[in-house]
Amino acid sequence: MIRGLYTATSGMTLNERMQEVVSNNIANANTVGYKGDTGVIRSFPEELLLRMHDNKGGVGAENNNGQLGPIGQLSQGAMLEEVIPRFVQGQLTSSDNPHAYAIVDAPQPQNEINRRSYFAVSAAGQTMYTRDGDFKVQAGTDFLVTTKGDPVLPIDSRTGLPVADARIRVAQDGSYQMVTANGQPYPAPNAANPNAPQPQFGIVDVQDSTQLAKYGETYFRGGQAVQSTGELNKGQLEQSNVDLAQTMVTMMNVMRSYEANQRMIRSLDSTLEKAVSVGRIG
Amino acid sequence: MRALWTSASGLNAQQMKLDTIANNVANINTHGYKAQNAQFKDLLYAQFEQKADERNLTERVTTPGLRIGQGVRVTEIDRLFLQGSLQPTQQTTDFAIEGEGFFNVGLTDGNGNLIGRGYTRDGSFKVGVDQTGTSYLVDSNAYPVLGTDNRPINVTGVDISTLSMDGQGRLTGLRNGEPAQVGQLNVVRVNHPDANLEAVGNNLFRPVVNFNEADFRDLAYNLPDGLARVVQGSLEMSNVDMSKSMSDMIVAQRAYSMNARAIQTADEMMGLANNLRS
Repeated sequence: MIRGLYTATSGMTLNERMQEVVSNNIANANTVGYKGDTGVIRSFPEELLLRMHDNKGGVGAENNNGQLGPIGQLSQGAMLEEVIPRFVQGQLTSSDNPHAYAIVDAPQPQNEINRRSYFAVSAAGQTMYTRDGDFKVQAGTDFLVTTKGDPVLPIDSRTGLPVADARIRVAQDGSYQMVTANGQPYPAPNAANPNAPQPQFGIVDVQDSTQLAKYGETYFRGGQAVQSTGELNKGQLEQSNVDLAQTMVTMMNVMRSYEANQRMIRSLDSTLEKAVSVGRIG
Repeated sequence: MRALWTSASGLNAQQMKLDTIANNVANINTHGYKAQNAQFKDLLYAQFEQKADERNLTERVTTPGLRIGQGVRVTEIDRLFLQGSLQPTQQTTDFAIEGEGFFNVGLTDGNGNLIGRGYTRDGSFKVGVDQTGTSYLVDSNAYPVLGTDNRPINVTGVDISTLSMDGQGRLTGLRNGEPAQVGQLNVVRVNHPDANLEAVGNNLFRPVVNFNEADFRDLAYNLPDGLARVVQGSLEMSNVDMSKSMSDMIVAQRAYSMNARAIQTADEMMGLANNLRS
């Protein structure tokens, strides 16, 4: 009976976490490039219950060697095991921003169902990936940056990987020039360095997007970038892929599951109260 | 219950979006107004570490840890410097810029001393008279319009109805009955105006603190890539798209009420927890 109390409590804690996930999806229903999160609920690992101090015989009784007899398996609650972003394509809308781009993923190969394309940005000292292609020009440097102000990284045309020390500068006519972080023209390959990167504006692929961790600012970090298969649509933006109707239903589910667990605790409590009052005199 | 704060951030962000849209709609008939747009990004994620027996379960797809978002924020409110439509007025002192560029006005203090330069797309100019009786071409805030010599355009004694302009912005008119050169309107080409300019109200823009000097060029007519053309007798309307503003407003309003509903649900859940022991 006491065990049941903690089992129901784990259900309440889990649904509080789920409500946080759902709230974040709703708050970001209009965030460009946002990918909705799905919470995965899992029961606690099952535990084996054994019979103790019971040698009167029967199924599962303690045998003569002192070995405990099994009663059965029991799971003692549920938990939020992981939060997986859904990487499905968001809706494309047109934008008047001259530096707006939307990524359209190539059809995923059978063995790489989570292969998606991303822009590479340099943020917090590392290379991160984003689907938000609403870019701006930074005052002072004229670099192409995200709305957060982090520079967009160009892609090496030979390897298809981001060039971390290169930047994209927007020229007066709106064209893109590849420069170093100091604003100097990016050195072309020469005799001394024939394999120098040849940066250009572009995107990269991540073969298994579930290995990316959300950072915030619609950035993802971690993961291994490879040459891209996706394509870019200029003048469009990818909207958040949160489905409001589905999110609303999930929220109702969470709420009622929380309520059911709460009822469970109350019912256990009233049963315990009866047990307490059994021995009451008078 | 973090969910409450998450939803509250959503309410704030959508409120900001609605404010921006309302400001656009309010300025739908403001000459030379450029529409604004609020941009969102999600807040940093909280990473919860998990016990070994929770994170090493089979069939898990993501990397260890539980990443739960904290909400949303407005990263910036940007401005769209798209061309507005031209409205003919037949006034000789009304000018509109077709293409990129800004009229240059001198910002003055109370005593008429120049204290800086402002940029505007609003070309509804008037004639203003200072204490000495000299008339100047001024904008709708009574700031003098600057010519190519960086000085106010003196129109003392000029019959305004005869004012005419050639393709290079040179103004001519009858001064005291005699044909005369009045001045030359300066059109400043600003590259990436969304990055280099900030609005100060009254249809005026000024350079941001860390603006790029090379992005500002005087006399946009003579530039090889100068696409600016000044039209006399017309005004540029605001570039706010009414139907887009309305649909944006509906989207923002719905998102707002969804966030409010999420707060309500979180509140009910807290109420349930509170009633565990009745």
